[in-house]
Amino acid sequence: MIASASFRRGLRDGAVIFFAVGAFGVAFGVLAVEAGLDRWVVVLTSVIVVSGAAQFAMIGLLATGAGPVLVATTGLALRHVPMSARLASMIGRRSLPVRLSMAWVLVDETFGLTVAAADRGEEDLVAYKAAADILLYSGWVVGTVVGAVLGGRVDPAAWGADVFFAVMFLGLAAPLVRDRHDVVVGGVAIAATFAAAAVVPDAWRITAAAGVAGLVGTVRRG
Amino acid sequence: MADLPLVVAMAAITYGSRVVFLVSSGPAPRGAVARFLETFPLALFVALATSSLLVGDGVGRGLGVPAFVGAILGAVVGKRSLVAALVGGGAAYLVARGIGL
Repeated sequence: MIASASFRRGLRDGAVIFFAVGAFGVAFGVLAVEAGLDRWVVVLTSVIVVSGAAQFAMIGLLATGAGPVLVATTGLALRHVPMSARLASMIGRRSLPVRLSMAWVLVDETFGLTVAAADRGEEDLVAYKAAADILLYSGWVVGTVVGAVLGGRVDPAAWGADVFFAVMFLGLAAPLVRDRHDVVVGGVAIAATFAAAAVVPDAWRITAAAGVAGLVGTVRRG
Repeated sequence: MADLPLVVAMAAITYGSRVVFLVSSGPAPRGAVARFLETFPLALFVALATSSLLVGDGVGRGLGVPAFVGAILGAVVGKRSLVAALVGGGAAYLVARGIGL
């Protein structure tokens, strides 16, 4: 598989992801150590969870307890369900080990690359995605290790880490805004978060606000 | 060590959501459920971003708001690009910091 043209194209297209995701990995490592996690737990998180969104959400919610973290993780993980269905239809009948490995790094970035490759008629999507996944995964883990090592030696506030969450999450949201319905969802999410801050316990306000905004979007698209 | 069960649970939830349709032949979510699944990530990311501005039940002092606005402007100008949002937010943060906000 690794000698195939599809694998090489996956490496080529995934190269930029290695560096971009690696930078996020560094940020995650630094912030996770600052949040009080042991370094080895920080690295293990990137090794076995492999979800930047869930892992950053974990840091943001860690002080509120395990319940909100798991609720947020579940909410974020739900988006993988339709991605899994789409990928299954794209790769067709494959052995169980192949399908299990394809699921390990089923993330937004490489899923997007794979969908685009399928649209181009890529001959071996499994090889293509495997190559892109390897780059993303190695970038994420290596970046996390670097960040975890640096963690205790830098002051996140000094380089703006205190505002990094807001900017990063808006950055993740930006590509998801496709039409005016999504603009409304974003606006409702902002308003609902302020409203929830006044009436909902801290631990649940994000989930409550996101749930309300998600329901508004569901109704608008109905 | 106390965080290990939480991390393992997160991994199980995340991998379970990724593998469900790759090991089964069940139908993909449809209708309102599919629409909610499609919308929820956007709602969650914006709620997380907004929440990071809050201290108690109000907006905290600091550079969070300029960075927040800058990220939105960056995303608008940059055609909804993640990188453009990061650049916009970072630039607004640096400007606000430079003028002493």
